[in-house]
Amino acid sequence: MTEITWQRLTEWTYKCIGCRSCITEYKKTFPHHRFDYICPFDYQEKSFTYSPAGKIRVISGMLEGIVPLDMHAAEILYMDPLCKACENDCLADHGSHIVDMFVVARERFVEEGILPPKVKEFLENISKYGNPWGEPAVKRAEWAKNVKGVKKYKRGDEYLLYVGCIESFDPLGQKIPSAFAELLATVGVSFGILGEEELCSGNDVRLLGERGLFEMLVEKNMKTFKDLGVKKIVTLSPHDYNAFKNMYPEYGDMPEVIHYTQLLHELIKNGKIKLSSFNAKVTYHDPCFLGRYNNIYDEPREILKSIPGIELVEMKRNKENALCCGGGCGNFYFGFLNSKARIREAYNTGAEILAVACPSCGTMLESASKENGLEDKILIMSIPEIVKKTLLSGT
Amino acid sequence: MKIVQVATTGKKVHIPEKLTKQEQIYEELASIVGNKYVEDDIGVLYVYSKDMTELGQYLPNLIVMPKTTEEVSEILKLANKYKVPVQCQVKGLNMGGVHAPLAGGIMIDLRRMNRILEIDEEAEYALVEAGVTWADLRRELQEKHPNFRLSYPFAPAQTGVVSNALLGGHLRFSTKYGPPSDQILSAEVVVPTGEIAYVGSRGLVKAWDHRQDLPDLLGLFIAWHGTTGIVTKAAIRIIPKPKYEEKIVFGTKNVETTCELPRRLARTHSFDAVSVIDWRYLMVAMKKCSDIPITGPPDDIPEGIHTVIYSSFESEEELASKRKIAKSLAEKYDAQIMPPEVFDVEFRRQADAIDGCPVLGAPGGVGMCFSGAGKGAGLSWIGGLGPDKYIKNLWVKTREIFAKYQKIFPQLVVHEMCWGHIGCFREIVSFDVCDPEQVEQVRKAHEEEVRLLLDHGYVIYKPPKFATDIIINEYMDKGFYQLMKKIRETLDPNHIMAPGRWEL
Repeated sequence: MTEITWQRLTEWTYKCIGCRSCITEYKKTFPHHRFDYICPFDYQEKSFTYSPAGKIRVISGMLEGIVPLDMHAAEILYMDPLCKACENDCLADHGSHIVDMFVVARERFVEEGILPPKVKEFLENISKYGNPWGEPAVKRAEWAKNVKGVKKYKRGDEYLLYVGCIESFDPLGQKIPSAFAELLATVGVSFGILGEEELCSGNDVRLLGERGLFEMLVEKNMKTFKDLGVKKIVTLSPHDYNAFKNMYPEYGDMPEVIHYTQLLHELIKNGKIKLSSFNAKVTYHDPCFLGRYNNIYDEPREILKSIPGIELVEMKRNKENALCCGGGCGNFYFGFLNSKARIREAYNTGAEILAVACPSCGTMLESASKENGLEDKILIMSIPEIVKKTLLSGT
Repeated sequence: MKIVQVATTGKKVHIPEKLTKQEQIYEELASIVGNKYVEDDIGVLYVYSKDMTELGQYLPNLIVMPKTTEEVSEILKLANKYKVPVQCQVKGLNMGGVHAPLAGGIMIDLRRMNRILEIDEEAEYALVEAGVTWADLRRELQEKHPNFRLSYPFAPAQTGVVSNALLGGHLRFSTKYGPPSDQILSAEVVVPTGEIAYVGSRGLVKAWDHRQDLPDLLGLFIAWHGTTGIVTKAAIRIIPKPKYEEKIVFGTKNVETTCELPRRLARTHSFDAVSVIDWRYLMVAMKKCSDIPITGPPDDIPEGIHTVIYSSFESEEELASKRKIAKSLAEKYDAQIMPPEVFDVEFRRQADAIDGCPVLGAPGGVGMCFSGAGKGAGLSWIGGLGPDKYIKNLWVKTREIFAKYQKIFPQLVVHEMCWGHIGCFREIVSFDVCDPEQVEQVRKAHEEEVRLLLDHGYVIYKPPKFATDIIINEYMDKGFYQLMKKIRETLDPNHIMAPGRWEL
């Protein structure tokens, strides 16, 4: 993240003329602009205020002393998954720093202790229990009880499998580590988990503006990695990947970090994982923290394409222009936004399966699918679940 | 009205006093549109007040977001009941501050009325609600009606189609198809007292497709800045795509030829769009805005003026004929048609950089190109439509006006309209809103520019309040004044619609 001063923030808020380039796809499709909406707010029927340009105006109003730093302003600033789609298409000077601007403004709300109740609860739970739900740490590895080959990380293991919060505690999320760990164990990759020693990575904490708590998490997590002599981390959540890859290095040396789709792709490419046929029409949803934040678009698609029988169809808004599920920055917990438009888009491709690479996206889309009555029409599966289903016996 | 002067910008922010019975009005608005679609929080009100211009900033008291015409009607009846001012906004992107609620009151945000109701290829129109943007309509055409296109405005793609057409100005193909208001064929309107009516052919028969040879009540809503009612739906003309299209860029050497060549090109009735852009506009379009000096063009580009024409054609013979016309006029006026290799490179650079600039491309985020070299992005213009024989005068005198203000520099644009029958002349200034001195210079220069245009018989389009005040007080015919006043009083007896706009 770019370190920006209050002064710079002031300047950038005045750089926005409100042209709204931030809400539709634009640059990446030049010269054949489709102008599809890529800002999740356009589907929530909220006023202009909640769009990136609107939020920038709220910040400038705060800086001018006209908009008070109160709960209303906090609600506006916090209703944002920081999906980075706006940065994709804004060509103004502040265009590649919109997320930074919102984070700095949020830091101010944290300093003043003015936070929407759900945000406050989220941060307090992470502070006290290391996860957003306030679950005891001992429950972190419950998902692993019946999964073959899962053990605690020990020095010398090739990978530390960093499981993440949703994957540890959410029943839907738990399917991902179960499937992935089983895949790793089957092909003989040495790995281990932290179990109850695992703590939230703090990606969303940082983006919610709670820098102090984030730095505490960084310190603890880095110490754990160091004490255990971790050389490589494989993350399940793109959020954790983003934190370890882009935020932690500011605080010291980090082990090599990869996302599980990168590892799976490598294992398939090297022939270590062999796949059987699986006839299905599948579409893939790009998670913001894998795609726009880290430019990983191909590996998940390559994995799916390598499964014989899978027909991969693209949603109209994909890759850099993918529509966010709305779950980023703790919104999967707050429920400020929904994924209805995205699940409809997936369904309209004619796909039977919507493949996801992020647990947060998975839970958001699953819930939108139920709300839209699509749960029997399109199945939401994580990539490890799909791969596990097609794993050739004898691999 | 409380006025706060912002230290950073020097801009005056007008905050209205709380309305009498504001809570009651809020409740009644919520009962019309639902709680979720009424706002009175100052943060939200502030967002609706801000724009990119040098003009004052005005907050409304309440914001309401209707979804249907009936809801708009109910809101207006409510506003009459409490005698509360009403102002409409779709995207609030116009550069005359025309969307600003000068007297506070209720701001009706029409963006939820965003359905494209019908596209009739045979009758060549799209029936859209007031919140539909150019981006929405272009997407719909691309996906479902690929043989049609639009005459796009010189505006970001997120501009409202209906509001843009009602406010006037010029469009990409105005040379051939005329000004924005000519693109509206019929409309559904809610008059200030809440009644719903159709105007254009739809007012007489069940057809939306024209407004010729009938009492043209649509004129009551064009360029009236929302003072006579709210247009909730409109049929907008769509244009068949030609088989081929060629864009030609001329380099001209001096102001005389710059202003004469496009007139002559337009008057051949051969080219769909003929426009002129000066060096700075070109630079801005090429996204070099951050490097643009405040002063004039660099020494190696004495004027750097370019004339751009679009030529659509259906056959090679037609193309050859149009090229011949362009070539012979270029020779006559000593202009250079970019040779193919240079032209290709030059054009590609422009087109790539311009993105959506409608001079050369689709609608788009042209706004961001103008974000200026200073700390804060300000953008504002004054433009008018009038006799194109005065364009050279306007070009020279506009430069003279701006020469007095060292901290700002205009970008000039000329567009031939209606085959050169009228011209559109516009100066645009991108300035630093955080520099009060620049803001003040823009204000003064624009006031002079308004008088310059009016003196040359030009009618200002999307005039800001200060410009309408000048027109009313110094230029308007007395009979016109009385007629306009009578119409307005008849339609809006409680004077609730956009008070302060065209204030007679």
